[in-house]
Amino acid sequence: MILHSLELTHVGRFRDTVRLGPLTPGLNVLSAPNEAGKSTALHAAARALFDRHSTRSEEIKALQPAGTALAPRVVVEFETHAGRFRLAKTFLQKPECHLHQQRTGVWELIAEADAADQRVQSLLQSSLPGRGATKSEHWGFLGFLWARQGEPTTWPGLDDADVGQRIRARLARVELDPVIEQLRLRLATATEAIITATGQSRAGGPLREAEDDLAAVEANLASLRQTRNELDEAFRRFQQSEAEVARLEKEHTERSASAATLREQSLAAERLRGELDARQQALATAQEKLTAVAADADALARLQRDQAETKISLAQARTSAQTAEQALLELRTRLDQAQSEQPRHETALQSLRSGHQRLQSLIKLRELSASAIALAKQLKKAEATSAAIAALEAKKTQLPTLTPAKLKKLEELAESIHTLRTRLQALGLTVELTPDKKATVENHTDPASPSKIFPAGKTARMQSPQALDLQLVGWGRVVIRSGSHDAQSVAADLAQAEADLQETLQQTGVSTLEAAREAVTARKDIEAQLKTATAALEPHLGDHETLDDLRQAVATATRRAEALTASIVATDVEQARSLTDLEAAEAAQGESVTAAESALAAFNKQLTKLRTEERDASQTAQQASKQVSEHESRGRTLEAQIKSISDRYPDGIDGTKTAAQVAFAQAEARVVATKADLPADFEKLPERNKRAAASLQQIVNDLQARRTDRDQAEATLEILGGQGLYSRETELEEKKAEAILRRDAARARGWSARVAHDLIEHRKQAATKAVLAPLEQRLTTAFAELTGDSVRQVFLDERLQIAGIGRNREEAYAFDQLSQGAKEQLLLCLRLAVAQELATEEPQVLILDDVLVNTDPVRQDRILDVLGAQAARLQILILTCHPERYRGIGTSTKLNSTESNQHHE
Amino acid sequence: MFRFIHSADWQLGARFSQFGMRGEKLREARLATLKRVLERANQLAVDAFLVAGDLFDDNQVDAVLVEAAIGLFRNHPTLPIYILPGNHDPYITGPNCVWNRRPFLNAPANVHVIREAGVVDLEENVFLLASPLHQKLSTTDPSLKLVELAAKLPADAIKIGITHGALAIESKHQPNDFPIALNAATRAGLDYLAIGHWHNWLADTDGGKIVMPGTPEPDRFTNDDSGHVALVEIDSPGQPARVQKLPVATLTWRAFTFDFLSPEASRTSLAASLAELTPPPTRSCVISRHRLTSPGPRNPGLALMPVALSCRPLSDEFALC
Repeated sequence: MILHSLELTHVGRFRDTVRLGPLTPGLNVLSAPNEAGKSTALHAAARALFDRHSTRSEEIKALQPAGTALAPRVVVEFETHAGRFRLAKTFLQKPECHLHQQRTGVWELIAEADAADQRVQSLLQSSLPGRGATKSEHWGFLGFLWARQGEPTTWPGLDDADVGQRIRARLARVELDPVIEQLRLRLATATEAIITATGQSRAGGPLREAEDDLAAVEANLASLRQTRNELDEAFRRFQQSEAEVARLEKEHTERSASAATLREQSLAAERLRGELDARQQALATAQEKLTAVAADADALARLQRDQAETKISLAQARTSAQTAEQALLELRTRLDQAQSEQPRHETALQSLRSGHQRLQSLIKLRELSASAIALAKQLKKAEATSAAIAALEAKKTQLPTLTPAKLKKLEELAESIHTLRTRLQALGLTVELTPDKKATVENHTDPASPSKIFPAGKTARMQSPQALDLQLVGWGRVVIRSGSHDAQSVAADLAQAEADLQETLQQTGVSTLEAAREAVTARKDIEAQLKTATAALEPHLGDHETLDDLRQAVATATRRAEALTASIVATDVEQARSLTDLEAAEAAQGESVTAAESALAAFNKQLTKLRTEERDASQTAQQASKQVSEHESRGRTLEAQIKSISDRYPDGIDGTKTAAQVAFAQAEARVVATKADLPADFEKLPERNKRAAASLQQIVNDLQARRTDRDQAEATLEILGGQGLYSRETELEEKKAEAILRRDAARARGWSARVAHDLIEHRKQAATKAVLAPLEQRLTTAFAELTGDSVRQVFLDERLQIAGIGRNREEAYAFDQLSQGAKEQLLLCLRLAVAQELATEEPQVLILDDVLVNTDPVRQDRILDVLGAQAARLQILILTCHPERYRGIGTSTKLNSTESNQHHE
Repeated sequence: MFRFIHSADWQLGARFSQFGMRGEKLREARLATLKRVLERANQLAVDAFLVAGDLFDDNQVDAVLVEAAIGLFRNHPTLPIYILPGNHDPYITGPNCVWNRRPFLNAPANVHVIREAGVVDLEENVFLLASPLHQKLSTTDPSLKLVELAAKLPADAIKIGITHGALAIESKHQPNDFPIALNAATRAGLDYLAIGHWHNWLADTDGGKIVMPGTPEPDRFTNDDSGHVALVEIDSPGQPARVQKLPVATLTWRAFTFDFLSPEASRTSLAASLAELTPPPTRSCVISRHRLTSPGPRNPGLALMPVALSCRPLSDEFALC
């Protein structure tokens, strides 16, 4: 298709009618400033050529002048291999479409409205979208041959089944066998009907239908099997319940019989039990009676035996009482005699004791007197010693209070003074004199020091602290002075020390150190004497702590001796007796007293023994008398008891006892016989009865529950059992198999068709790849003409997309990595190649809408050369806002608002 | 002489999943065969018609099928029919057992379902000793009961046993498949022991006294000796029974192989085989299986594609599987 003219009304900025054209078959340059409406005019032409006139899409509305509701109208004159046509379309309000064809120079209307749209679509081999406005991929060949403003590097894919495939086939000159191509299309159709591009089953297709059927059948099968499981479970429960019911019924029957038997046994046992109780009662009565008679018989025998024994004991007791009375009388006689002798023995003893006591008092008096005298002597010595001690203490008091420690301190002070003096002397002057002959020297510095005689030829040394004032006899006076500071300091210390010594001496109460030493010595002597005197006083004091204690003891001893003397009033004979005599007499008298006391004690012991015997004999006699009384009383009691028992058995107790024994034996025999009739464990029968009844009731309950379970299971079985589940399952299984077969067949058909289609497609791609080289060479040549670069080659991929440029395919720069200018130029080459190929069948228009904006002036000239060369075979329409770039080539054209159209070569 | 037909393993209502929706045709064929065999028995005026187990393929078969079977039996009121529950349709208590359904509880007078082991007095001095199955699996020999039953019968009576299970042939039976001793008939003192379980004809056990007729209607390509019932005649007690193998099948199951490496030879062979398949009078249909062989090409999917696209069921009478 080539364009001859455009006419726009109510389009974009054109509220009135503007016209472009007529366009020449060669190179046309539409130059105008930006926003002049160049691209809008071409877009409006495309909408007219490719969109339905009735569409109201936003893209069509965008053609309306801004802010108006005017109906855009476009008239396009174009030419194809079928002839020259004029298409007039009005959009939006009252949409219209008229297609005219020029025949013999006259325009004839050949179609209008939708028919016109379809006719144009057929002429231009374009397509329509499902909805909305068309896009460049719907524009047939023009979609490839129109480099749109702002999209100079956009190249549509060649994958669509119509235009893209045709272009690809034309470019690569790949021609497939039409039959194979038809087969490929059929395979593609078959594949698409069954599976999607991603291999999923297609909705509504046979595979999906089979899968859905299979899923439905499987769901039904699962439900049915669930029902069968329920049936099996119900049957299992039924069987269990049935078996359990049978078992329980059998057990119920057995237990019922067992319980009845047990009940009968229990009743019989109860009857026997009553009889046994009565007989046991009779036996107990007989036993009681027998026991009572036997007890009475035994008691009577015992009483009679006791009565005989009591009589014997009474006789013996009477004899014993007489014997005891006799012995008591004898003892009392002897006791009276002994008691009458006791005062005599006691008086003799008292006399001996008095004598002995006086002797003891006399001896004591003698001892007290001697003691008082000794104490008086001791006191006298102690008092003398105490007086000596007091004298020493007084003497000691008069001595200065100077202790050895204090004396030691004084001596240390004196020693310090001496040391200081020595140091002073050492620091002072030392004069060595060696006279030639014996000389006398007087030291005036120390007046105390006598004159010294110096032997001849011998060196003598003299020292003085600060000055030395010597009188050398025979020569004169020599005064030597020293100004040493140290000597002054030591002298000051010495003075201080001496002052301290004097002060201390004064405090001590002595004048000199020697006096202090004497005082200390004297104190030591006195203290030694005091110690000696004190030691001498201690023996005199004896056991007394102090002298006053001793004096007190002397006074006490004297007073006691005087008191004893006054109390004793010793006779002359006694006074005449010596202490030794007194002590001997006292010892003899003491032995007599002891002997008398022993004799009296033995007598008293004998007396006590007699009294004890008399008391025992008295008690024995009393007891014997008492026993006699007791035996007599017991004999009377026994006699009464025997009489009482005998009176109760007038027929004799032995006969009565024999009768009771016979009655007891008979009753016992009856009890034994009844017990033998009773079951061994008759006592457990009531409990067993109770247990059997409870067990029976439990079985009845269980039986009822099991019957209910069984009936419920049976009801379920009745509901499910007749439904023919197996047959239904069979039917579903077969349906499932059928669905699986259909699914697998559909899947096999789909995938085999896809495999075959892909194989053919692969073959096509392989064939395309085989013819890439000539096309790449053509593009390389065209690109070299544009760029002057004959080293780099252009490479395409098997889908005829530009892969890149470079020295070889492996090192080529990818298309996306190229500069914008290189991309524009490469695609211009590709569009030229496509246009050339398509132009062999019918004229083609190549529209370049401001696409070489990134091309440098050198390449611009080369491009103009190429375009100029191609203008002989193609209609080329260049839209630009840079008229200077295209000046001198092609035909310049403009958008005119009038009928007049300006153009020049 | 006592004459009867011994059949087994009718498997009415059987499942044929591999045939898809055409399984119904095969089930219908089994009913047709039963109808035909009953008519033949009537023609032969046999004294009894025995079913040695598995009349039905399952206890849960459709009520319509049960009614259909009963209807066929009802059509021959003079023919005594004795049906023994097998392992597929064991007699169990409860309403979910096919033998406890109303059609069998109210069955025609000539139809006798042997629900418990016992002796049936067929006619004077002829006894049927039956040991039905009450479960699907068991390791117990069901013919052991026949020994107990036979011990109570007079020695000079014709004793015909009937039970269901696998013959205890080493390495051929499963231990829980009701193994029947190979001398079961002799052991029990029977003149004839009618059994069922396996689907191929087997009549040479225990000196020919134990007969397994197989299924009257074949159900798989590998059962190449099925499709029969046994016509049995016993003259007197102790005399060997005369057993006649009656072919009764409606359908013929055949498998063919077509080698694509030798297409001409295969075509000729297949044509000859198909020509032989002229259905006999009793058979109206042929079930065929075609095995197509070819060495595997590099792209098996592509090579098989034309085959897959062109293979489809030929008609209702023929199926490809």
